[in-house]
Amino acid sequence: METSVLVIGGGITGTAIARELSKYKVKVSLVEKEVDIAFGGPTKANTGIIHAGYDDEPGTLAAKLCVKGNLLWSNYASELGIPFKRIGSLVVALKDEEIPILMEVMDRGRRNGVQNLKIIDRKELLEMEPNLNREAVAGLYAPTAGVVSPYEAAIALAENAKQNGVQILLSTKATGIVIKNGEVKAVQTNHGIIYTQYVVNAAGLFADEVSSMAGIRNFNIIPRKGEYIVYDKELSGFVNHILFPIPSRVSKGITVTPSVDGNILAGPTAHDVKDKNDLSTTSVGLEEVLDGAYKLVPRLSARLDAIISVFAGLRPQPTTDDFVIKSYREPSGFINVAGIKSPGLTAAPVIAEFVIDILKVEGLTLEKKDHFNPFRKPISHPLRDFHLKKAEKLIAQDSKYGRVVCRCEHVTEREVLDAIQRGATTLDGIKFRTRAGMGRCQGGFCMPHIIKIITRELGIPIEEVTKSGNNSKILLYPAKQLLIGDK
Amino acid sequence: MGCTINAWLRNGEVVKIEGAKCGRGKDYSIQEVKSPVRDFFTTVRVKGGKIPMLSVRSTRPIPKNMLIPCALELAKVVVSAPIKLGEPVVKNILNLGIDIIATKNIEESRKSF
Amino acid sequence: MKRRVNLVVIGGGAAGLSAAVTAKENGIDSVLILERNEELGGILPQCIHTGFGLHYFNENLTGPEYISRFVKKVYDLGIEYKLETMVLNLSPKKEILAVNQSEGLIKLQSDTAILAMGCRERSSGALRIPGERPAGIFTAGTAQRLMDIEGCIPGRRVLILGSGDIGLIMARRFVMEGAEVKGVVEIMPYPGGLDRNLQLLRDFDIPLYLRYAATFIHGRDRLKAVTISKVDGNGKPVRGEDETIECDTLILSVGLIPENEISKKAGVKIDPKTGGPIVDENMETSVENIFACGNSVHVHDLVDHVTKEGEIVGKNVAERIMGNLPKLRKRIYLKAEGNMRYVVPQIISGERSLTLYSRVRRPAFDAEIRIGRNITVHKRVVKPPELIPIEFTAERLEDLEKEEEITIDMGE
Repeated sequence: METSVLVIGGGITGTAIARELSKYKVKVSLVEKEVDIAFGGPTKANTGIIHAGYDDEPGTLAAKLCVKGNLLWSNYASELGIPFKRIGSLVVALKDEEIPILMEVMDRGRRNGVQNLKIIDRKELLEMEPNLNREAVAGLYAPTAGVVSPYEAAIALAENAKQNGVQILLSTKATGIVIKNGEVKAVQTNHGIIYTQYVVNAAGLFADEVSSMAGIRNFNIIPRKGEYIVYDKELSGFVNHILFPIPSRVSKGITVTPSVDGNILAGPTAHDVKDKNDLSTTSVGLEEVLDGAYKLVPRLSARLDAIISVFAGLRPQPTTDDFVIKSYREPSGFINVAGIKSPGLTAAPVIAEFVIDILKVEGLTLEKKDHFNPFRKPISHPLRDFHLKKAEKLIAQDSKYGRVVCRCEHVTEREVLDAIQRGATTLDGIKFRTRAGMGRCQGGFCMPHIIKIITRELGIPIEEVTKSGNNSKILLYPAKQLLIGDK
Repeated sequence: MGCTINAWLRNGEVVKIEGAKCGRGKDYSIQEVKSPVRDFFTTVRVKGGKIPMLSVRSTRPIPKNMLIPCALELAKVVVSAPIKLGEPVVKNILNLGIDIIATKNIEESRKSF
Repeated sequence: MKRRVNLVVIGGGAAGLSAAVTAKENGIDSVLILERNEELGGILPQCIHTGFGLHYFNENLTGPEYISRFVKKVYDLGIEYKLETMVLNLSPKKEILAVNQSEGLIKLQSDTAILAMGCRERSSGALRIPGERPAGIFTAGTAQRLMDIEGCIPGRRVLILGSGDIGLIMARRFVMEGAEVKGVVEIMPYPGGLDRNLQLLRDFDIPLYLRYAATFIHGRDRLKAVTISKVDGNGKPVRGEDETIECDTLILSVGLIPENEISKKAGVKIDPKTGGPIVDENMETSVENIFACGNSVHVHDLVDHVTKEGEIVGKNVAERIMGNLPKLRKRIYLKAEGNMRYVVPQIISGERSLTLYSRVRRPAFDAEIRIGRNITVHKRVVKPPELIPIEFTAERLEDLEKEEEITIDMGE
């Protein structure tokens, strides 16, 4: 197999770069080691915040790309057909002693070029957020912050990239990089060798390992775990903005965030772990999330009953002070895009443009396509999104829009079929594309229906349906097999 | 709705019971000690039906030690739709003098395979 | 031009069917049942075990057999029903919005409505069990559907969390399908299910871990093991008392929650103690002409009670439509306290004999249940998994003080 630019990694960074490249007349391929886009980890398990940009150290790449990226997200989301809500964020000081830190944060934001930052007094804070801790003394309001669904964004970017000619290879893992005469020649994968001129390493948690394959070993990626708690949509409206505590040296702190889908998300914690595959929540971590959430929104303490889910994500924390986005003299043709932790999601559109610039400098001829289509049509969710007129029209055209299979999110069979058509082969793949299984019953009703649809559409026996690929089979044995053996 | 009965035995026979809430308790205790029986119910595979499994039951409780043997026996069975509720699926299972009957109706599937 | 019906029954399970049948038998012509599944019967078609109908029919039936008798009545009486139909909204004015594949969006106006949506299961996320998120974790009802309707066996080494009835029933099903049940884990010091369902554990030497909680889930892709820990009186794990049980399947039987989304959309007041609507002795909710019965009011233990409740509601709705059932004028609010977890109905007139249903938080022997100041009811044994019927005869009611709010609790 041969390509001109091979992007390693199907998370938000890799897909954003691939989509940006698809604007040009160049052959692009993307390899993702998991069975689906965004399954790799950080992209599917983070807070989904488009940051205003006051957190990052001025002068860093992260700071520049974050502020620039923030402004692009409205347009980005509308092209990709995904929801984006610029709801604004509040950094809340709960004690007078914290006010100087608030001022520092604002100052840092101003130096980074963040617009419209404002210090809010207690009265206004409580008007903006009636459920906020009444001990709040002041807040920093950043109207440019927003929320988006990070995995939905990556999936949309991958679809748009594919629409525009990018070759997406799932379940394909880079195992080695072939270098000859100081130049990148090819990438070895578990499915054979791919000859390429350029390699863009966007491998997230494993970017240090891929970089090693190219002989560049001057940084490591430390997985930093963040645990989250998800609240029922019933609490929608409890909180109107992204709420941050005063930041610590280590992290932005445990937020209370109204997600773009209407759930309240509490988290994340920030603890380094050893295993890059350790996505376990812990009792200590979850307690920490609750404590952090209650500090900002004490009323949540009475709503343990409204918790529907808990999960953990890992951030690819680099051992450098900043994003690692660069090319090298040796090997030439290798570009690292590593250590893309927060504000990676916010910076994605600009990181992509930045990588294009690097590729141009590295000698790649990039001629713009005449027929690049920036618009990706999303799956229609007429009942889920309560667009009744649209629902009537769509059901008349396709009756499967009338068969509800997910009782919590009102997802219909047609949407599940669309998800499968667009590349979902697993329960989680359908979940991330439709939200079926993300509601309060957490798949209790829809799981059997979706499993049946997958077996029918993919023509596989029911025991081969998986949660997220690999060995995550849902049902291990067909009827009676334990009693009669393999007959 | 459930009570806990204590039974006193002598030479393997029930001589006294305590705690029974209704008349059934005495008979039940004697049976439980002598030759315990259990309700038996399971599923059986279906061919050509709207659903792939038929729920079945024994017409009477079966000896406790025959639960697994009966389950193994029925695991070999495949019935063809249509099936009527009450229809015998296996007669005189394992020579116990007890039938296994269908507990629901299953229509034929109109799909062709 | 919306279609108009006399009665819409939301949910075609045990409660909905008996309510619809009774309403029709009492003269109501246009009755419409809306059911989201592919067949009538609610949860009963997948409850292939026996124990149904002991009281109602004086027979020991399986779930499908029990409900088939009511489904037959629906057919015989010609009651209209729609399957695979999801109710999206019910307004206080009894306007219904539903959807199905053949008709698309359905808009109806009804004179009365009966909420009979049953209940749903509490999920693992809601329990906040720490650990990984592998495949292999199922709520008991979902595992039951997969096993006994779709015909697949979730796994071969099973751990059951929660000693409630459904978990115990699934333990038996797994054994009958050749799987190994490693144990049943219960956080309370006493089991949650009915005695006859616990019998199975003894039959097959399945260990029952009392006062244990699941504290870690192991397994990246597929479940590998679950760590359980002994807990103290506050549910906090005790140091050094852990056990890691290898298993590939975890079945959760840790609580049922009345389905109340439609109820809330209709503006019906919910009792936080039951999770279901506050109902009066007519089983009418706080919204006029919206009644409720079955598990969506409170979680029952026997379907026989659900059927009876459905019949009462069916009759009441028929009377209401014909103008013979006035709204309750006198309203005494029963407040459950102490060991009494809840009481249904929550509002009574004090003028009609009726049966109250209650549940306790903790088991007790020789329990004295106090209703108001003057009435005491004696129960020999009370246990959390069993619904306690409290008969209120006309005589008894005379002793009930005529107050707006009366406490029902247990002398301790």
